[in-house]
Amino acid sequence: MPQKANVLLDGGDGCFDYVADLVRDNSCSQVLILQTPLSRLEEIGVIPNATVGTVKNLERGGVDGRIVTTIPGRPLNRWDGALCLESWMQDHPREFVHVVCEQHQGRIVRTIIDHSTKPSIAARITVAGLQDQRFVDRHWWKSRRGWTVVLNGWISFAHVNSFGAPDDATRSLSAAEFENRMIKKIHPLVEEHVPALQASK
Amino acid sequence: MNWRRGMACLVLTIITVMITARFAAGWLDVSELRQGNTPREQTYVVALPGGTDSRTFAAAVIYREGIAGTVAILGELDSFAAEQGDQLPTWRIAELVYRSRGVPQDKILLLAGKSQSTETDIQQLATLWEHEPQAHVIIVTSAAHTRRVALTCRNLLPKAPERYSILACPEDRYAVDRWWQTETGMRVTVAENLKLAVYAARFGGWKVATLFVLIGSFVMYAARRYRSQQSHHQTASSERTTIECVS
Repeated sequence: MPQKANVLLDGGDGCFDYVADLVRDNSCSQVLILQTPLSRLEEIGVIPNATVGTVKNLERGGVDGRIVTTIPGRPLNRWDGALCLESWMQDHPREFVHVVCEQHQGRIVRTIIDHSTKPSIAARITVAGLQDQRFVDRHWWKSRRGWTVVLNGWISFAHVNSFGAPDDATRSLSAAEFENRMIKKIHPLVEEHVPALQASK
Repeated sequence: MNWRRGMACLVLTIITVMITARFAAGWLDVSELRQGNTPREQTYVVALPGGTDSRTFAAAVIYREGIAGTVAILGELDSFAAEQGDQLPTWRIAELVYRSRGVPQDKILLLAGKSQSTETDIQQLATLWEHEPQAHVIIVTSAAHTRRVALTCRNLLPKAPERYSILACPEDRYAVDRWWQTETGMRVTVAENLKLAVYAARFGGWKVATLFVLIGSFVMYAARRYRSQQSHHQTASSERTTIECVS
């Protein structure tokens, strides 16, 4: 990892503690976040949006929230995210970025960066995968969590390598759109299978 | 003649894989509503854990549409992040979603238990019938998960097939008929088919296990045969080339 890098948070077990340690060691100048589209839970206010949540979690670890910067754009997936990061790095030609992600996603993140950004920019990006503390990496097959993480990692890696960037990124439905779709889906079933309800109506 | 047969087999395999692949995600959805004459007051809707962003919204719709009278939430083990205080426990998020989507607090029932897998979820659900034997439970989950839930219910609740329905919520993370085009679609479809195979082997006992062994053996035999044919073909063609060069 280069001296005084910018840390881009992609996730990973204990990522906030990891960043707090980097800040304390004076190895991190600012924390970067890619603002993902609003999820339905964020939309209805049940959970805070990703930026607010990240700042809160970092502040709990003793990190000054003012070092958090949101990269412009609302990427729908990692391929979009890599393009947003590339654009930010073009505006900051002297900066290095250290991407922090889950251990079994590291190779996927690296592949996406190498495929979607210019080589000169990809050379300024390093990737660190954080080990999941909920299972022993060398004995991943012994736990359910290990199976899930490793299997998902390999499937995603196969997809990223075989298909590359998706032609059309899928946008999640809003809460109202989702509920309308559910209503449309259940109405035929209700008409056919719930005579009691029909009678009461 | 052999290469023609090989080509025909290859084309047939590609077509079979394409047709099977096309339906690999769709066949996982076995949604069905068989509430019968159970009144609304005795009908419960429960969203299985793992999809608070979708399943809980769908369960709230079922309550609001007047199909179910109570929304049940399964008790869960708190995740690591929840234990650390980094995020709310999933059951609490579900409760907040229901409250914000129009379900009154007194119509929300929190079940005791520790959900860890589809199997423990169904075991936990079974406690509902201990208190209300006539209850009908509408289980809401993701489309790809419904077949495994149905399999688990058939095996764990064999005496009560009319006491539950399984409903899929809409899928907006990927297109079901083009699942391989997105990373999520591929991850969900492949992982769910594998999990289904494991559950089928587990519940199906020696019959299903034998079937898997037979299929596996056949695939391995076919692969070995294909490979040996290929190497035989290569050796023959290289010998031919050598003879041509010498002559």
